[in-house]
Parts: sequence; structure tokens; C-alpha cells
Amino acid sequence: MSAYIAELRRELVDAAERERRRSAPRRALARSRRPLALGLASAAVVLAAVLGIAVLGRNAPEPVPAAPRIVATIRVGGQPLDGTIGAGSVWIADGTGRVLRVDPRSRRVVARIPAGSQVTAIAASGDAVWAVTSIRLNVHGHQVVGIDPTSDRVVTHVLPTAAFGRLLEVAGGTVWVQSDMQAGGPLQRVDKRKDRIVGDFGRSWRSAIAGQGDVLWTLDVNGVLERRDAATGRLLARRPGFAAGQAPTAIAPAGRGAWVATGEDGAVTRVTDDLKVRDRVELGARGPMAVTDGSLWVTTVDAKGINVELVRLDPGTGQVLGRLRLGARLPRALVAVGDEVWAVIGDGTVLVIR
Amino acid sequence: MAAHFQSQSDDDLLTTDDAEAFGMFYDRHVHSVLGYFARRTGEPERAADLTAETFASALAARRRYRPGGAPAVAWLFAIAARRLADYHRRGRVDARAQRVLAMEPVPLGAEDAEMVRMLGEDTAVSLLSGLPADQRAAIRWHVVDDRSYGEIAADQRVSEQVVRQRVSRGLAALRARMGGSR
Repeated sequence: MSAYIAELRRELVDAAERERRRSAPRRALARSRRPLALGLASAAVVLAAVLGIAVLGRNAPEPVPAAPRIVATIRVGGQPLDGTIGAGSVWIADGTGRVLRVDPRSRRVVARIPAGSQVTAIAASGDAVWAVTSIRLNVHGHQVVGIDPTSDRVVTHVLPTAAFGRLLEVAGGTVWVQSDMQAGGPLQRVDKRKDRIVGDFGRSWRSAIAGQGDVLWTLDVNGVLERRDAATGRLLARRPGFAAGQAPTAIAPAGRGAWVATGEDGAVTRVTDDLKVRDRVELGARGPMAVTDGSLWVTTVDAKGINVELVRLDPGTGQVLGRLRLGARLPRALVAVGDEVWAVIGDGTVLVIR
Repeated sequence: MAAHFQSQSDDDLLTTDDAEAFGMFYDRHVHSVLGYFARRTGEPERAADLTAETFASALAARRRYRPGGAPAVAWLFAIAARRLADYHRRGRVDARAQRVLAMEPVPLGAEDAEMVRMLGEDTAVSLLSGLPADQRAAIRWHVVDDRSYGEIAADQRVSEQVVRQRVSRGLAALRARMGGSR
């Protein structure tokens, strides 16, 4: 059987199964309603009169989002490494030393900004875009550059005091970097007035940092989970030994807490603001996560390391709401764009998924 | 499970509330549908897109399918003809049914494209070529071109009953050749 015929068959059978599940409760409800229909109708009239029509529907379940699907494919070229959203645009590190600016409405690349060298990480806030770029002549190998969204040009170069890699985040108006990742260096911030990387907010082998509003979450390879004031770096909560030995890989703030992915067991775990563990779902999580309006998106890879899926979960409960097969297309980054998630793929495409 | 469905008729497959049953229906007819579109568009990619949309439409509409009327394969090709007409009218394949069913687009590789091209050249021709000329023509007009029995009867100056009989016998013969004579 050809690959096309087999793949189309899978899509159809999966769709048939979804239809069957969706329609089964309706059919069962229809069957159960028939004998009671008359009695319920009478009771409903009385209840509506007593309680008021507004009561009806109070307990109606939340609408379940449709199964995820690719609604557009944006061909950006290069070999994209990272992506982020800020200043009204989506920004892509294209793997060739440029930062691409993409209009989220037209889904077109509107600017290609030379960064001087390879961009390995990118983060943005409302008024600025920051990128980690490699530099050959500096002993530390990397620097942070700032891009002005009004001119689409690199306007700031910030040299590090120690080597660092991909960890970069903007939260609470502060640009955060993990310095000296090889030796468990400090969490630091960019001093924008002096164009310097400064401070020491705890030394650790951090594997993920993520910001939401005024809170910065950090996670290290030994499972130390921290929650900090993003503006000042002040420690708000710390939980040692969280997911110890489970190779924590990603963190996604959601509501009053965050979801943490651990590579060893492939689980995603929800922790509250006070770092208490609430829900845990084993999915085969092996890549980036993102939270969009009403959905948590988790990248999963099967046990053979071949088939990639994007799994949509309810961020409040961890209930799986849908899956989207991506084949061999492993996202390098997931960017939340309203109710869409944009998957940045290394083959030069960005998949718009809803 | 698949072996269980192999013994069932197309009517049974379309009226069974089991996802794999529709998969079996697809297995039986996907090659002829691909060939049908490949011959009419001359483009494997468009043929593949139209095939996907045809089966998605069939899946979405299968609860409305009523056994005992036109054979299932005729019902399927009537859908295919409508999708082809839509394509010619709009100049593009509208994947509406696939969107409604939240299906992901399936890419067509180079080898698959060659396979579709060959299906366009061989499948339908070989299937239809063994039929008597009157049955072959009746099937083409009614199933492929989506013309009504009455219209064909008036055109050929025969009764509507005769046209129905030719279509029915021709499709029965085709089903037997495709291994679906149940």
C-alpha cells in the first residue's frame, strides 16, 4: 500500500472514530429521553417558572475545542531554531543568522533582520525583542542582542560575563539569562541602561525558564523548581527535589500555576503557585510546550523516537482534548498566538495549528 | 477486526457504527476513485486532494446513506462527481469536509504521484472495458456525469427502467470484479 493511501486511511478511520465518540452520547441521550420526554417537559415548565429561565444552562459543560488541525503552513526558509511573540509580531530565529518578523494576521514574513551571527534563542516583550547570538571572537561564545521593533534593526549588543546557551526569557520587563550553563552558573539579568549582564540570582544547572506576567519560573536538571518575582528576581517559592532524576525539560505557566514536562518518564505535571503537585499525565512528552487560550499544547514523541504528536490538554485538569500527528516534524518551539499555536519546525516551516 | 469486515457488504460497512468498517469501505474503492480523478484532472496532486475530500464527504454523509437504493459504489461516485464539479467551478479543491472532520492534509510523495498517474491510465479503463457498451455508457452518464435516469432515457430514447437496469447490472459486474460482490 502506498504511503499516501495508508496515511489517508488513518486520517479517515481516526475521523470516523472521533465522529462515533462524539455522536454516541447524543444517541444514548436521545434514547433515554424518549420515555421521559413528556414528564421532563412538564417539569421543565414548572421549574422554569419557579427558578427563572436564566438558571437553565448553568451546568452546561464547557465547549470542547475541536480536534487540533493545521490551518496554515508558513514557509519561512532556513532551519528555524526558536520562536516567540511580542510587539504585535511573531519572531523566528531562522537558523541562518537572521530574525524573521511574521505578521500574525496575514501570516507573512514582513521583515528579515540580520543578527550578525547564528541566533540560538529569542524572547520578546511588548516593546523589544532579544536574541542570543553566537560570537566567535568572544571567549564566552555568545552575546545578547536587542532588536528595535520600530526599525527592525539590532540596536543593542550585550556581552556576557560568562558563557551561556539557549535560556533567555523576558518577564516583568526584565531580560533573564542563564549564565555559564556548563558549570551551573547564576541566573542573571540584562541591565538595559548599561548594556551589561549583571546579578547572581542563584547558581544552578537550569534546564528551563519561563515567564508569565510578573512571575518567572525556573527549573533545573536536579528538579529544583523556583518561582520568582520577574521584575526583581526575588525568590517567591522554591521546591527542591521536584521530578528529581526525571530530566525536566520544559515549563509552561498556566493560570495560577505551571505545567512541567519531564523527559525521563514523558509526563507533564501541574504545579500550583505554591509549588504543590496537582495533576500528572504521562504522554511521552519530549519537546516544547505552550499555553494558548484554553489549551495546553505538549509535544510528544513515541517510544521509537519517530512519530511526533502535538497533544492538546485542558490546562486546568490535564484532560486530553485532542491529538495532531506531525510525523517526523519535531517542533523546535511552540508559540502561543491567541487561540492558535505556531509550531516552529526545523525544515523551514511554521505550522499554524488551531 | 479487519478480517471480520472483509466478509461484509458495502451496505453493511456504511451502516455499521465502527470506524474500521469505513476503513474497509475505503480500501475497496480508493484505487478506483483515485483513478477516476486522475483521468479527469490529469494532475496526481489534485486527484489525491479530491479523493481525500470525496471520502471525507462520504464519511460525513454516511448516516444518510440508505441501503437498498443505488449501490454504495454509485453513491460514492456521485459524491466524487460533485466534488469534481466543485473543483471545476472554483478552480481549486475545497477541503470543507476534511476541515469539518478535523482531518490533517495528507501530502503526496513522488512515488505516490506516479501511482496515481498509473491508476488514471489503467484502473477505470480496465474495469469498464469488459462491460457491454450499453452498460458502460449508462454507468458513465449516470455515475460519472451525474445525469438522472430520466435524462439519459430521454436522450437514448429508451425507458427509464431500461437505463436503471443497465446501470444496475453494470455496477454489479464491476463490484464482482473489484471483489465486493455481496
